Amino acid sequence: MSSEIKRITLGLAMVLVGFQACETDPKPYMPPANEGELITTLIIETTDSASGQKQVFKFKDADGEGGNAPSQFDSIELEQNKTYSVNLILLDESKTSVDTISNEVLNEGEDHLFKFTVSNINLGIRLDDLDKNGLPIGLKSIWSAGSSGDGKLKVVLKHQPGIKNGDPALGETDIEIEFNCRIK
Amino acid sequence: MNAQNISCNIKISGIVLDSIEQVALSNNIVSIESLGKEIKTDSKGQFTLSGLCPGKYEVHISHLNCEHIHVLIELHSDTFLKISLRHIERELIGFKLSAKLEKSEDLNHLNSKNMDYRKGQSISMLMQDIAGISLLKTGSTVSKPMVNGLFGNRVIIVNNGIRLEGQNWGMEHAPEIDAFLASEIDLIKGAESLRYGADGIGGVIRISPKSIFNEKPKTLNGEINLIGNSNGRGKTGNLILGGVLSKSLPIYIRVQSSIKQFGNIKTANDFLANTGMSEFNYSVNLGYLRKGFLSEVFYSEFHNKIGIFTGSQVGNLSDLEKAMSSSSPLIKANFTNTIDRPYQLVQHRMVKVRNALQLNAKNKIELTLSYQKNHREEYDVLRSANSFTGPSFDYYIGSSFAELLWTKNPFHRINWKAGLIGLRQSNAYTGRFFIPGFYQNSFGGFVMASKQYKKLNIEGSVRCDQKHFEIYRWIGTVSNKTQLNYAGLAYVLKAEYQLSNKEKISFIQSSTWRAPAPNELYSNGLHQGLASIEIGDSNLTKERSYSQSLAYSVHQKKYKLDVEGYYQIVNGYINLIPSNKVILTIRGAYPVFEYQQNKAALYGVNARWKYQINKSIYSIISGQLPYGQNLDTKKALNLMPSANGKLSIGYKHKTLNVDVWVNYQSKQNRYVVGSDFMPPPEAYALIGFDLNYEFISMGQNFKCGITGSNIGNSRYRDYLNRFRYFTDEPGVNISAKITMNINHKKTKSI
Repeated sequence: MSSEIKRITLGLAMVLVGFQACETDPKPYMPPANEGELITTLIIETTDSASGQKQVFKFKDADGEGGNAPSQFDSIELEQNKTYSVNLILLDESKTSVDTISNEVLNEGEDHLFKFTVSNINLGIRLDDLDKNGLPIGLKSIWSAGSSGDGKLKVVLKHQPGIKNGDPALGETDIEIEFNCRIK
Repeated sequence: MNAQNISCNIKISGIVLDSIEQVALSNNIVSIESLGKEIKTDSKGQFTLSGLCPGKYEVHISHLNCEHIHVLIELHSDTFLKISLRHIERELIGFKLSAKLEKSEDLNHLNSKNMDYRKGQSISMLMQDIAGISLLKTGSTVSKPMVNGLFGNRVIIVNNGIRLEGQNWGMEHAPEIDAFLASEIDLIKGAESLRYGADGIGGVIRISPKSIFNEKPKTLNGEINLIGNSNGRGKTGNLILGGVLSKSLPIYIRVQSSIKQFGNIKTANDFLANTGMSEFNYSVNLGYLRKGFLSEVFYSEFHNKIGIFTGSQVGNLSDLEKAMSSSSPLIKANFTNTIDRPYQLVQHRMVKVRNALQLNAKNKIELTLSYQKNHREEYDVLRSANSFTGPSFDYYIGSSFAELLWTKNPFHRINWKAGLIGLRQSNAYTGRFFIPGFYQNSFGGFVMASKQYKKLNIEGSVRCDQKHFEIYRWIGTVSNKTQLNYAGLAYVLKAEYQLSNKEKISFIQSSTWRAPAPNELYSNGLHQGLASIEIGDSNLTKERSYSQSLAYSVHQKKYKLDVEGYYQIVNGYINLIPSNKVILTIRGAYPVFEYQQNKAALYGVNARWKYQINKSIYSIISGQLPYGQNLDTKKALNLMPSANGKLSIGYKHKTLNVDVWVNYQSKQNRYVVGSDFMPPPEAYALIGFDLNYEFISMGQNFKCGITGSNIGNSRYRDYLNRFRYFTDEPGVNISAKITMNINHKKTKSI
């Protein structure tokens, strides 16, 4: 019997060696690394072409999809019969050092396309930048506000790697926000 | 020779021994079913059946705690059989007969012969021939078993004696098991199911490899499998080699490795972008067996990379709606073996050490220790080509497990088995939040007993568990630690009555429970691919199931019928239910699904009927009728399999076997309207066939086969496929296989 016990002990010793592996298990309480990619914030920066006056409208959801509700969701307010040059800025504010995603979108302009959809309001929008293939991106645009009224403005960003041809229906949606929009 | 003149006075005698201890086993029932002859072995393990005519017989040996065995023998004269059974276990070792061993056909059991035609398919695919098992799929490459409508955390999968511990909760996470290791698959419903846990509310699926102790000295034993598939241009290979060092040093060795590669799968009309997969697995098994002592070490690694159909990762609800309204995939593809994002990369490693000591004829102690490490990485499509290269999320789960098992047989004419189980688990993740990090410590104990009263066999088991969870969640930059404790009792009772030696009836009554999983408690986020947000509920309590089932089987020479009916009530059934809320995100509004608890009922019937039309032609009809009802809302449970059936006709002549079948899946009309993005797809019928032939060449046994599935190249979608919104199911596939059995006897000793 004692030889059996020796064998069992040997077997157990082998297992203990195997169990050392557990020590290398990642610890559940470690903070999860940052998510790979996230867009938390869209900033619409409008500049009145005549006066040079700037306005900023923001959508911000710092923890991404789900979790807490967006912390900031502005209504866009424009003045009638004015023309604005508009810049879009995308940020990832979930990281300790804020990442400006719109720079990536600009660098890979040939894979991205913004689309603006206006409803119930008199607002004309023209995209004002081009990617290296000569197709518009939409980070820069010119907005012409008409008569006063209340309506909606939907901003959509499509990711179209390798398939961009100017058609905003293609690709996967990275951003889709419908802002309330008022022309005073 | 004239039939009348044949002298019918031949006798079969023999002895049944425990293979380890070599002690006689009494009370084995030895029978020849075709003659209705039956006898029990005496206290010396001996038996005699006399008055037999020459001919071929199927001798059936059964014992309470052993596997039922069929031995085919051809009788010319008096014959002596020495039968060694691994007592108390289902494994068989040192079997002295060349005849094939097989358990009687059963609704809940598959042996390697039943699974042969699916060689090369995934482990879940093999399981689906068990009555009541359906597959919950994610595209064509990921599938997991569903037992009578229950899946995931409610189904325990036992691989090689060890409960599989992976990221079981995820609908798109397939079991991490090399299908080539499976020699038998059982859906365990009796008392033994509690050995593996009380939370297998849906069932316990046990996958058993061939016992390493089947290897024989001076023989190199093994198998080579090569399989080619037309759809996906799949190539699969497997090699198993085993042997024993020598008779004087009984160390058993077996090594195995399999490799698989598939490219893009084609539906009836289109290639599906990025649906390839590759897999590489290996295992090493060492065993030592000496009189009364057994020791075994098993190590396995499973690695796979699974491409996920590109069109399934939708950015938001508008993208999903667009994908659903298109009749062909929005992303066009050709054939390629290359796998791009999105894909899953999964590794599963397991080490197991098992020691068994037969103290004496009645007592056995067994200690099993194991460690499993599961690492799953999921790579989503990137928004920017150069922003990030790592996985979008990355899960680790490490599980250490110990089981001490004591078998006492018999004590007060009752056979006993008792065990203590401990589990320590640590789960961590990086990347997108799905399931929080946690430690789990659980401890449990069970007792099983079985007793035979003439034709009635009663078995029962009781198990108690204590589970402790330490859950870590990050809320912003603050870590939040929650401690949760669960304890519960479970039992299973089974009575089986032998109406005659051809007919039996059995009844099972059980009550089991399951603690809510960390994802059900705390998930809070976007479900990529389903454009929905899932929200957990930290107030969920444990689920308690009460289940009854009644089974009847009759195995006549001409026909075999197996029917089972079940009725199960689950109190506090945790269910993901669409709420009427939406959550506003930067990608638009998402519908919200919330975990809720309801009282649910699951009931249905599974049946199989095999009819031998003549000596070489037979037909099999099988079917399942599952139902699920939310008793609180009086509405159907979503994601239940619909009624389905299979009709097959087979022809067997010598070593040639041909089967042709039709699978029918009805449309699922029972679902909550408005709770799904799309109504369930239409009913479908698929035709398949299998042709195989065995022959001997160069002294080795070969088996070739051709199997066809969906040979009509039908276009169809399946309700239980999560990609039913995006793509059709695979079109026609023809697979060709060859199996070479290696049986190389060393004539000279080294």
